[in-house]
Amino acid sequence: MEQTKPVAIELRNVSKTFGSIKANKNVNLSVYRGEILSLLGENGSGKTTLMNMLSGIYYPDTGEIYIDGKAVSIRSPKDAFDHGIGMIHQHFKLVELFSAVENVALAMDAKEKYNLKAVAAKMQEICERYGFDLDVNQKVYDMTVSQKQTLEIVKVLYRGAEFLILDEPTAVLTPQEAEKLFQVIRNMRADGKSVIIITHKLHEVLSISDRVAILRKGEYIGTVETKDATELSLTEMMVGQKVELNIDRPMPVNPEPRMVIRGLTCKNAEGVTVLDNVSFTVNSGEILGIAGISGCGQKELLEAIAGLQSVEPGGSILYYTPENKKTTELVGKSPRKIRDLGVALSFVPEDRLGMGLVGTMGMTENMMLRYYNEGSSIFTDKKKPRNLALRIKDELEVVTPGVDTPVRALSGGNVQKVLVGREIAASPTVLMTAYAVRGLDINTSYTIYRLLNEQKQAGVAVIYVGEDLDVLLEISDRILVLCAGKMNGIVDARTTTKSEVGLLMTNLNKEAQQHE
Amino acid sequence: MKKILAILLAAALVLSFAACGSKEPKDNGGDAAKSIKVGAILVGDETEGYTLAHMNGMEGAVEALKEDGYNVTLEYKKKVPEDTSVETNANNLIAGGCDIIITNSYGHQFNFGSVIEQNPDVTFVAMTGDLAAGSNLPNYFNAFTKVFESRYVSGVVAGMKLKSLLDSGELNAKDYPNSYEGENIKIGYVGAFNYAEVVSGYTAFYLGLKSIVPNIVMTVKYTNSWFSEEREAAVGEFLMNQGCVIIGQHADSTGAPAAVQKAHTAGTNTMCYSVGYNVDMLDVAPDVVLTSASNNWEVYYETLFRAVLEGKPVPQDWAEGYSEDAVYITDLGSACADGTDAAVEETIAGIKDGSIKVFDCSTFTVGGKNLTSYTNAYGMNDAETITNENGVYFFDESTLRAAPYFDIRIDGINEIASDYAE
Amino acid sequence: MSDSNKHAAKEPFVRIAKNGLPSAKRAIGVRAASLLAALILCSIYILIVGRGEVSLGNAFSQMWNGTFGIPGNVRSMRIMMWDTAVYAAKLLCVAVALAPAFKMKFWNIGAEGQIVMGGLATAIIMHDFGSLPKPLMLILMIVVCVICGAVWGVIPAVFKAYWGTNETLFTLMMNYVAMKIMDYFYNMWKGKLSALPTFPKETWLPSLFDHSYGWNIVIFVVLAILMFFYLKKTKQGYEIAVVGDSANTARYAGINVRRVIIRTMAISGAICGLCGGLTVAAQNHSIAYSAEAVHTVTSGYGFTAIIVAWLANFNTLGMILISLLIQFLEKGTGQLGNSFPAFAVGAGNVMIGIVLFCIIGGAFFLNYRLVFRSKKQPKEKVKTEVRDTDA
Repeated sequence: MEQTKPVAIELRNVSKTFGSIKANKNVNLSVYRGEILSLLGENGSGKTTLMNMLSGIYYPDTGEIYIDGKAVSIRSPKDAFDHGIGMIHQHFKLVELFSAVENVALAMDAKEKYNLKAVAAKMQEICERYGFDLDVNQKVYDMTVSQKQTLEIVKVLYRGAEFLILDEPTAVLTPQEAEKLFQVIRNMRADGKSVIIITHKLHEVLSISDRVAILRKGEYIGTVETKDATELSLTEMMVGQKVELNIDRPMPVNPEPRMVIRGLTCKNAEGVTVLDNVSFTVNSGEILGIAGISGCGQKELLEAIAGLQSVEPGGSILYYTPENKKTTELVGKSPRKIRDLGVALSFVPEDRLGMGLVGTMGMTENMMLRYYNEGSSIFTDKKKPRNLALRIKDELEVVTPGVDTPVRALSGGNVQKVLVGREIAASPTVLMTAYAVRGLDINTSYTIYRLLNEQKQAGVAVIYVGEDLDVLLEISDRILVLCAGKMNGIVDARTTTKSEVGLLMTNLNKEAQQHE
Repeated sequence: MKKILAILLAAALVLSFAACGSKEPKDNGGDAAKSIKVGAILVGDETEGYTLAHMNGMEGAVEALKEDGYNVTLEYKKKVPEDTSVETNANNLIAGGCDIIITNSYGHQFNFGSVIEQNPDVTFVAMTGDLAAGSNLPNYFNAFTKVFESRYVSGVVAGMKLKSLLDSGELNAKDYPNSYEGENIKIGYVGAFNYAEVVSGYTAFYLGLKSIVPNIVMTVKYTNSWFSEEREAAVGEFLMNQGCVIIGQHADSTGAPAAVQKAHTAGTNTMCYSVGYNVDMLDVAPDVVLTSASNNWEVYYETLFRAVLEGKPVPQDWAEGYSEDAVYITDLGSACADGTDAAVEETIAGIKDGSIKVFDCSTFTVGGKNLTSYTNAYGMNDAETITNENGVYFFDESTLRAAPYFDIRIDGINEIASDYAE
Repeated sequence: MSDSNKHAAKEPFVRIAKNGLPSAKRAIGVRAASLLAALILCSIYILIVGRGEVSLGNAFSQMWNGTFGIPGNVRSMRIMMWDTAVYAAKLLCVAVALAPAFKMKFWNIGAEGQIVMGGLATAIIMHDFGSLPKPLMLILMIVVCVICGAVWGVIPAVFKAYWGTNETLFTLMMNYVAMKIMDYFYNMWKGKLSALPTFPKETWLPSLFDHSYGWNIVIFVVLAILMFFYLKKTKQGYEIAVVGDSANTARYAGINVRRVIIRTMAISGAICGLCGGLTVAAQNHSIAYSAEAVHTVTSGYGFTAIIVAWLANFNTLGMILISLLIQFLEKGTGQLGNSFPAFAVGAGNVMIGIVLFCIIGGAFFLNYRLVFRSKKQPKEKVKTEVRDTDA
């Protein structure tokens, strides 16, 4: 690889482990002066962890970091700044009540004289040099997300950063704002700064960066010159070759519509559309996989069905009762109302301890969570849930000191067994799971796959939201791909390829775009 | 009534009242009748001047009686609030062998419950209280001092200072126009609450001053607290800014003198001197404090203890002043005018022999008229409070009962609104 | 600084690691060690403050006398034990009131105000409706204090449930509003007197066990037991626990979070109100003025109870023991101040602080342990660092 620009930062064999999870495995990476480098990878591929080690938030377990050829030790964000490295996180770290200039002044060295005018002047100078649009006296609480991001970048530049790391900077921006940001980034490159962009949006990668470094499952795959790359080549590097997992996939028996979803649109608390006009049918006896980069509307989709997310007018979720095909509209109903209508809906949410279970309670009391209110007594009945807890503990081999031990003390896999066990024990007709095997070891994962297949064979309509494409390809009957809140196609899981799904995940296809 | 200290900081945790200690009176081989045990229920503790004065009084009485061979043991219950804790503590003190129970806050008297009836052998004294005489209980008493006498004398001290300032020309309408209201010179007073006790006190102070310098007017401003350095300092500063040349007080902290001292030290163009209360305040404000009006509780406590020890009747509604040395003024400050000593001695002698009546009706007017009768004193059941002695009409304070009841607002004194909610 | 130095400094000398769940044995051990440490520290403190003139035996026996009466003196013991019992019961009642709110993670710092409002409502009945038939008046006294306390608790709950206001500040500020309202009535009723006399005896709650406050002890202890079962055994108690753990989980479970917040604060406020009402009706027979050293209607227990509730880990039966411990400390150190001038000026508070510090500090060692740097580089990392590996 020929390069005229000098190597500025070099990572050699860097590894980082969290508990049993290897977030980074022997990663090697070089950053040149005056370039824009994209760091590309799926969710959980270790991009942010790697960059956090550069910016002093984590310290590598093994491996070295070299800056301008010298080995350095970065133990805190301050160390990182001393080396000219500044990171702009996805969640901004600003004082809402302060103005822009006051926020920047906060970052001043203790020895510096506190002089807001001087700070403002220097900020103005930075803004003009790179083309930022920023009112230095505006209060942060009055700023748009884009303005806050601009302020974060100016703050980092003010402190003299030579290397800027931006963690998914466009995730919160409109296309116009993103384009403006890219222009600024190009200006910074022209000024000799190095910019690393963490992203999984292929078209952005191609349009802005000089080189692309790719991580997959914590491992460094390689770096390519952007001019030599195509969307397809990048996708293949990103998702890798198909790995055979040998998950069972029985053929659906007598599939029939269980739930018909039409024109579903949801907005988040900030009023941004996160799920855009999604329509599909869920069939009994099959597993419908849902693929997508995280934050593309999966959460809202499942929560809308469960009655936890409000739906914009015009959307419809029709439930077909198995026995008599009677339809029930679920939109606008609370979770309790849905249950009272006799809709047997089970839901394994993504946030197991923050939504699916009560961490401070034992298995027994968690079994009661969705059914404690049955019956007219003012007292809770603990006998039945206790028996259920004991049964699940035995059948799923949950490792716990006892059914009254708080579940937050259990390991991730056992927590998931408790949650999935409870939701299946409710004899659902529709079972929704979000990232059901995230963070689980192989054995537990296969237990979960087995349980889902058992449900499928029992005629349950299973919705499986996943992030591991290999699993999705092997367990699902059909795969629905979401991209930026829009439905980007439904493919037959038995015939599709990994790169086809990968492309659907990262590229909004023409029809979906036109549909807009 | 007294003392509700605001000093408490982390008081959420402290509610301290408790049982009798295990200290048994030591039997020194003497006559059993010559030993008694006294339980004192105190609203504050030694950090607070009012309660400290009571504790010093009791301890002084114990020492004095020791010389006569009497053995008096004291047991304190400090920081007792004005609620059922009074009854509990009284009961517990009696269980510990106390023969006399003393409370020192006005509000304590409402919370004896039935302990007085149930213990006829024990003598109960509610200091500053006003219910004993009407209760028809033979073992229940009230007492107070004639502190208005020492306030009058402290007014004389202030008057001497004012007179010397005028005589020397230091104080004149040209340099200190703010200190004059027409022909009259402005005086200030930091009051705690608008109760008769305070009204009686500031009127006595004013009349004492007026006996030396007739052309004065006085402004009274309340803090609505018995003890608040912060409020007293703020009111003191306010009065100083109004141009008051003398600032008296009926509130327990050194806030006001400290504020005056601060202005004096800073060298601002104010002429102001302070008269304190209860304790010598010269430590805090050596250049501006003239004296403090004070009580000598030892006189009463010795009387009380001796009466119980010797099996004599305990006086009901005991109230004494200079005649029994139950009140005094503290040592004169260096700022006092020459000749003050003599004037003070003369005044005290006059009070003692009756030639000076503090509330002599010829020295003040109400609505421009001299009073010859007043039956509206609060809580006195329309009793006549003005006495005629050899043609001299005077308000007979602390005679009908111990606690003060002079609540007349006289001409020349102006009460202004408090900044602090009641 | 050379590179190797930086590496050497990487591992801190001591760091804090999270423990798993503490075993029962460890829990008892840690508690016992905490109390022992408290005892030793207090002893050292007594010797220092007492300047050697106060012996430890004398000091501790004074503390005992101040709480339980003079040993052997039956009269004194009876008086002090009753007194300790009624104040412990009052403290218990407030802690019991806080329990459901705290379990829901609704930080009700407004117990003082809720007590005051309950007490004031009852006082108004005693002051202005004394002519009603006694049974009717008694019922009215109880009903109004419960309602007023509940209202005072519900106001911040509604704001929290609908507009997400910060309940800590809100409830705290409501205290001062309540106290000023009571001050208004205090001053109005007091008129020209220097303090407010007690209400007529005919309006008092009837005595029980020869004590005007007998009923308070019974009712407050019964409340603690009822609250124990309410939180442990009922569906509403279960809802409170779920909402306290996570509002999202509660929504997932189909719980109406707003309703639970408002209902629970109504209960919390109502019990505080009852505490205030019964204190006025049966114990104090009067109201209080907020500028006094001790607010005699609340005794400051709206704040003290927060410590009790936490120390008992929201277990209302455990609160009985903790309330007694706090009473022992308050009365005991108060008696120390009565007996020894060296301890008069707030020195007792320091001892209370020492004991609470040791107990709360001990709880830290239930959940965490200190890991000292070993010679060789440890492989294990602090567990709490584990979270999602990528955004």
